[in-house]
Amino acid sequence: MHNSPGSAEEVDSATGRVAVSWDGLARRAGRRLVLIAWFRECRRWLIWAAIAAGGTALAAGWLGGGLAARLAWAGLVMGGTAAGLLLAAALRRPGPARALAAWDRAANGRGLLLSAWSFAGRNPAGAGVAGEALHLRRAEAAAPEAVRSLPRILPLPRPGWRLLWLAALVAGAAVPFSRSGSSDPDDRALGEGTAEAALREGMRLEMAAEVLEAIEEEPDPGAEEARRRAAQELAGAVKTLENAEGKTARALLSELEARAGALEELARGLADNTAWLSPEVVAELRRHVDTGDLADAIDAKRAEPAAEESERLATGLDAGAGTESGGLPGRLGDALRTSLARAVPEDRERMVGQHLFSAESKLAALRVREAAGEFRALADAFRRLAKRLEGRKRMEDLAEAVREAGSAVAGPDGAVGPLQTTEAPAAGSEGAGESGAGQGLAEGEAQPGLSVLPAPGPEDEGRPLRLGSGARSTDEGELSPGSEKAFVFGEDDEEGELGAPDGMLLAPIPGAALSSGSGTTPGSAANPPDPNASSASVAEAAQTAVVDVEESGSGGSKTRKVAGNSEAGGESGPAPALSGRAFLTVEEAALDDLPVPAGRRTEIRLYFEELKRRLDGGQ
Amino acid sequence: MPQSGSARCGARFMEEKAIEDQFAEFAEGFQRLKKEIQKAIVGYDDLITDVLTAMFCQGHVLLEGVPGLGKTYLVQVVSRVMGLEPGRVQCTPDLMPADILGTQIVNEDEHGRKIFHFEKGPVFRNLLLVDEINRATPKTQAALLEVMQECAVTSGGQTYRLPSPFFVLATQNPMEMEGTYPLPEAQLDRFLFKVRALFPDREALVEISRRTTGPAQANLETVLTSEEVLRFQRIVSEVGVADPVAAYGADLVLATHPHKGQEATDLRRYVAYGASPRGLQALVRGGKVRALLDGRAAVAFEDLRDVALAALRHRVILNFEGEAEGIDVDTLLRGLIDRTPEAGDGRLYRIS
Repeated sequence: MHNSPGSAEEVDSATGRVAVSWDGLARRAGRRLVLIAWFRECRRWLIWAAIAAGGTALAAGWLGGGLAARLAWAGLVMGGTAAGLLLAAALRRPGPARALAAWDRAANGRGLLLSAWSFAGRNPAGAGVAGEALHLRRAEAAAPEAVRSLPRILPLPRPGWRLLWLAALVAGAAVPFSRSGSSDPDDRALGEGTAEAALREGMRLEMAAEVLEAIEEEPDPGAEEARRRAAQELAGAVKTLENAEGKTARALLSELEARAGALEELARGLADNTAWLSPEVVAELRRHVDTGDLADAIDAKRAEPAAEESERLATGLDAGAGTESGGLPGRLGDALRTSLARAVPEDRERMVGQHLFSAESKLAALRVREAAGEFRALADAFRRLAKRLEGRKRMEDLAEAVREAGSAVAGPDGAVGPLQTTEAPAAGSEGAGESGAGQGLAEGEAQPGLSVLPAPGPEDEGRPLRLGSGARSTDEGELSPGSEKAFVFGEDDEEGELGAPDGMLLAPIPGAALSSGSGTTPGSAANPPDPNASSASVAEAAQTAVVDVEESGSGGSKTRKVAGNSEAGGESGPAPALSGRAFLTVEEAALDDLPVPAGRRTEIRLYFEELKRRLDGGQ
Repeated sequence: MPQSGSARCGARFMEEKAIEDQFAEFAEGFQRLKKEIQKAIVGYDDLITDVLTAMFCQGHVLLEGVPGLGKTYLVQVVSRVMGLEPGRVQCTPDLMPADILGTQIVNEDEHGRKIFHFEKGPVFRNLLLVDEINRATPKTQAALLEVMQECAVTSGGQTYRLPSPFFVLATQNPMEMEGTYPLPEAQLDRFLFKVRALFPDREALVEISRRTTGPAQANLETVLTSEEVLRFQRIVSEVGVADPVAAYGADLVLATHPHKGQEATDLRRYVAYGASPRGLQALVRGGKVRALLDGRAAVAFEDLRDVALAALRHRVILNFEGEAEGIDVDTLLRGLIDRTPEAGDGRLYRIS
């Protein structure tokens, strides 16, 4: 009889008896124990592994992974944990003695298999004491039954279905959550419709990029480089928009914001405010008759007028070059000397300061023509600066356009909440039942009533900007500064804010109405006073306006008292216009505190400008 | 002429059948013996088992218990049912070694010449009861050393063999310590087992009163002869002990040593000396008897644990702190047994 690996039973050639391979039995028991230990450890670590898997799935979802990726990661963690536990159990696999002893103990065998394994290994020929041989024979007889009953004697731990369900619940609960599946609209993937809008915006940006060509006409390496990099950024933004489908609104806006920020950085690098003079020098220059206009232009940081003035001074110096003393060269020399005496050290480094110091020294040396040349060079520098400032402005506009494109694409999906404009309460509606359907400023088919207005201001000519307005508002270009529009508004609003508390720009508050005085029912308001009414009624209206609470599906609105202004009470004609304009001014100021994207902020300001212009025209 | 395979197989089968029959005969004889003893002794099942186990292991037993528990009576009963010639020594402080071993006396031979004659003492019996052994002086206690270990008495330059089998069953009273001489460690180590006679419970007391106050006394029969006892002792030696089991016994013995136990802080604190190698011998030999009683031919871990208290309790010597705090050695040993892992033990693979 001998031990050998392989099957548990062998035939002894010498005696013809069925011999048992005790090492084989020990290995069998060892494998079983490893399996048991693995099951037990799996059960012990199941919940923790499930939590880890859920966390991994959450992380994968947060990083933008799809359902398959999240499931794969969760499965990987669970599988990896199971594999690690199996490896640990295998590494701690019991030796033959331990395995057989565990088997004996479980079967209440009183050392039957362990002693047999020991006796067989010690006395291969069966030459031990009589008891050993007898024990071996008994163990050999019992071995087949022991092998058969091994699964029953060493059962695998029960899986614990409740635990399994709990683990599956923990791990599975995290799988559905992802950035695209979260409740935040910014985390939703952009759909096909928004992808079309993104393409349209990209085309608009490509067309807008043509303004870069007009930045510099004369050779300017710095400007050329800035323009080249700006074109790259713009192309990148266009590409981002073209590939917008499948991205989340947050990701799209983030990428576009990065591009816009780069454009703004380039714009700041193109021209800064370091070229001008210190206020002390400017003030002194303003005191002299010959340099007053130049000082004004410098003080206003307007390069074109400054260039014209410099050119004028150069021409004057050329004309007065023949005079012995006095005249423009003398006066200009004195002005420059006294003014530059107030210069701060930084003025010597600045572009204007360098030219003025050089001209002053040449005038002091009576080299008037050279001084004229210096002023001419200053005029050229101002012209270049004007070009750069213009380029800077256009780059900043492009940055705004990039942001605007992002808002236009992602805004309707909820990335940016719908902005609301002033809505004049329609006659008879009195605000009751209004659900807050304000006039969004975002463009697109979903926003009817958009009109294209030229950007106000001399430097924004030709830049198309869209202005949204409501269906009941100013399609005809009039804001009806009459009774419907005259929101009672005072100057001494302590809180300095109007409108809905959740950042809505304008009145009326959704679901609320205005009332003057008491006695109104929630959700309704008395009509604001007619500006053409008698002074008594206006004075009454100027006391306090109360916004009553109305509970609606979107929640309750706040009650707010607005102190009246007696200024409007005593006037009959201009009062409504003044109130409306003041109201617009405060509303515009309140815009600064609202989290509105820069592109929309610009549009809203333009909208206010237009309102004011029309309001003034209506007077 | 070499035997054929079938002949070898048949011879081997016959050998195994014979030893199996012997093992069965041992178990049956042991149970008969125990049953006969229990005709006279009420209760004390474990105590009787331990005493008989020690006797079949060729060992001596130290019985400890308060007076009146029937220790002496037990010895008398055992000697009767085992067919052994009993001897008794009642130890007192003035007991001299010669009173136990025997002495040389002057005598006359048939020719009238004066000669020395060795008068054998009470130890020359099969079963020697040494009653209240701790009342004998150390000198007398030491005289028992050679007797217990060598089963021989040397006097006048001549060695006298004791009858075989030879057992010493000593008793001692743990309460009355005044005027006693506690047994030295070397003397204690000579005893295979130290068995504690516990006070009988209520039912046992009732039964004792019934049996001992009536007119009829127990009619005891001799179940075994001394020759059969010797044969049974040889059968015990045929029981196998696997290496892992022996290693477990060694671990138990090593664990009793205060500076070798890994985690037994209580042992380190209260124990001065641990068990000697004789403790391991006692464990294994006692385990063999337990295996036979269970019908097995090999010792199991459980057998060692069954006899561990009896085999080790008198071999674990408490230090001063242990004595002062009244530490129970049995409690220490139980904790030690619980802590000592056997082969296959371990947290990960414990099957319970």
